[in-house]
Amino acid sequence: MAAAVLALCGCAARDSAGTDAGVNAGGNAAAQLRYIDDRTSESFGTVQLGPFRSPTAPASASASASASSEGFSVWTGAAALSPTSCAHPESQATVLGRLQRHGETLRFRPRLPFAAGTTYSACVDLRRLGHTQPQSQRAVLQLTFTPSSGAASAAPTVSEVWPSSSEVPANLLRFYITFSQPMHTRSISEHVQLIGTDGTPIADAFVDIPNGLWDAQARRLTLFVHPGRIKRGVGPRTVQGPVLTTGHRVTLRIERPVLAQNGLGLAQPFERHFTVIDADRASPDPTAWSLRMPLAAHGAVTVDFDEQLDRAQLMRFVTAHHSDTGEAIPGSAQTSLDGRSWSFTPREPWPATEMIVEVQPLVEDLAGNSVGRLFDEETGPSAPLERVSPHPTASAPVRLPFKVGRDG
Amino acid sequence: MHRKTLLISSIGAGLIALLLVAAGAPGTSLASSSSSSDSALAESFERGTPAPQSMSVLAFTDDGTLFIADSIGATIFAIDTSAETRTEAGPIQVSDIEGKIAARLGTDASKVMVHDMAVHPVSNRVFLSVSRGREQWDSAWKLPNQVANADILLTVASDGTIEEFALEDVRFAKVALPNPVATEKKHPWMKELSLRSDTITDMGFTSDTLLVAGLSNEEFASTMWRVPLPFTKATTATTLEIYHGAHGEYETQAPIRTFVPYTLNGEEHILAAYLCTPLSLFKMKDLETKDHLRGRTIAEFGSGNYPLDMVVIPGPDGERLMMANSNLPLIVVNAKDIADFKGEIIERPEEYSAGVEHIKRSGTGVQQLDVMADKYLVMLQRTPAGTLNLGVQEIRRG
Repeated sequence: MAAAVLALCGCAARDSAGTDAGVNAGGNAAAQLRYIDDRTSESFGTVQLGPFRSPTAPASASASASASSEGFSVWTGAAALSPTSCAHPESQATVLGRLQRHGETLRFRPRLPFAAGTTYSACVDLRRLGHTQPQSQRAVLQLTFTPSSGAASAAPTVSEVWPSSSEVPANLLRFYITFSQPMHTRSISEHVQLIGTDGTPIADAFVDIPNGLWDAQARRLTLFVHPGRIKRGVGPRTVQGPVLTTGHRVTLRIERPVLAQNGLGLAQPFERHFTVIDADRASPDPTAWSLRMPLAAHGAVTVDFDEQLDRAQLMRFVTAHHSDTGEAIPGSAQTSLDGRSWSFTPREPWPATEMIVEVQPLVEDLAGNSVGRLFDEETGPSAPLERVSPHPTASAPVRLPFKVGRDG
Repeated sequence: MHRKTLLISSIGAGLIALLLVAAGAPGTSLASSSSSSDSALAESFERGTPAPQSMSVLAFTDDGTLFIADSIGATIFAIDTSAETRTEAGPIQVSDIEGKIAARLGTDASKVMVHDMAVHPVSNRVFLSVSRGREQWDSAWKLPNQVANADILLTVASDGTIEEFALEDVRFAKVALPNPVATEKKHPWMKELSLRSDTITDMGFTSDTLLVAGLSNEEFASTMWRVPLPFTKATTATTLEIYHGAHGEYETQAPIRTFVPYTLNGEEHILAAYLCTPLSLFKMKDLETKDHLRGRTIAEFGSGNYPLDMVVIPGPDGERLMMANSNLPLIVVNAKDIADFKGEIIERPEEYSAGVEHIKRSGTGVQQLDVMADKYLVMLQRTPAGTLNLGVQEIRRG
């Protein structure tokens, strides 16, 4: 209910990319409290505690717990705090916000963004947070900060749209829109439209999801083209017709009222044009994929696909392993902008043993076809038998072995 | 039907009202609020995140279903608040509530703007829809909803504790308002304003219907929607016009600013107030059957003034209508005087105020009104120091 706004949530599992540069994985480094004023950071606009180590908190915290009762308090104004306590001298109420755990950091994100030029105070009591700290570490950390006008006054921009190609199949399933900074997620669907050839918005083009479907940082928005208008023979397509028609030129348009969490809207409406080509009714074909070997002990391994694959899914569903133990190899992955290739750079030099790039069969192309399954399967008496039966490799991952210094 | 017409000054109205009182006028009573339809409404609730774009108007049914009107989204949300704790009504008093909200929202008091207030009938917590947009409130002709979109819902407990009522993972239902005024339509003389912010200006209940006043996209834009409860049947709409004495003309574009459903002489009515302050009556049964309706203007309270809020409370001489104003003190009208007033203003009065007798009370700067447990009149009032105070007045009955 009302107090739930201050709920703690154990979000560590969602941050699978491990992109937080602030994480200090090693040693007994003392926890620090800082305000993230770098607007290119995904944690921009938060007060961050790290490295934070706790066997219990915050995942154990109840939904009704408030940030301040957990020992993480933020106030408007410069508070004259005692250095050993988080009690506000005038008992001023704390700023509304949410605590989230990301790996070894604990972040306070205010309910409404911190205002540029306004001074705030933050105080954490590590004992109450359940932090396991070195004996020498102070139990109370305090911070006074003033967000810079430059950071908070920057208008958001659209930094990326996927598909990146200018041509999309008539059965395109989804768009990803990445913004330059965390966005207000409310009512986004009102302001994102697909404009048809006649210059008017295509009605019901996208699945209506309240507040939109956002990543944990509220920077990437996923838009699903209405599947009922993609799948042949179902009601919405029969009544309203398909959203995309081969040969048409459509425009993805994002209106200015879309707001960033700093309260500013897009500087100007964003548009990206696409030409609709024939529907893609074939699954990605792993036999047409190729693996490029690492050229050096620290070099990247690259897989080239036969078509554009979903970039977000590639980041989740493609991994590098030791062949014998199955153990994951630490390192960083990236994809090409168009989703036609994936590459991986190891943190340590490659071992001399055989390794495997494993692609889960869930990875989809632009039309939502995965390795083992078509998004819009033909069924009924006239459908070819082999299409109706499950693909024999539908549930098996695609395994691409490689070894440094050995040609494939 | 032939209607007796009158053009009268406030003094004349007062005399007539006194005469009618002396003659013994038929009684009046408060329209009953919705309750029987509440359980049916609750059955239609689904769990989720309602996400209004603007929390323009708040209202509670008797058993505590919260209605949020979203002008920008042209949608009504009904929110389950059954987890509120039953709490005895008490004389809540919070000075400089904008300052205290500002501390919670990471800003200063000059930016905090309260858009609407409603008291929860079970917990007696005060619900406020709020934005951080007050710095842009640069004209007395503008209302908060025309300046910014309220984007946060707060509660104030009797001890002054301010929390967010988070609209996440709640049980709710919603209904879109048909044919709302288009975003492209501009205010007639404040050209920078879209009329969309006036899509919904106030809400009220009958036993089975939510009444929604505002602007539709019709040529006669002023509209009263009737939304059957629960949200299973189609919403209907009636466009409205009234004679506005201060402007000397019929108004079809200006929306009702605040209204209450009220039973007069055994017949359900809407008592509605408009900018520059005519008070008009509409018969409920006409609203139910007609596409377009002309109201009967029974009072003019004065120019240069937005009526901001309206409640009916008991009093020593029967029920009273209390009205908060942007530029006038609290206005009090005895319900009996309204019931007894048979005239209609259809010509420009000689003075700014005319019609039903009314009393201007000492409360200036009152921006919001509600009733707590039939015991307290809850008010948000701007003080001479410039702060906004949340406070109560005990309702006098005898």
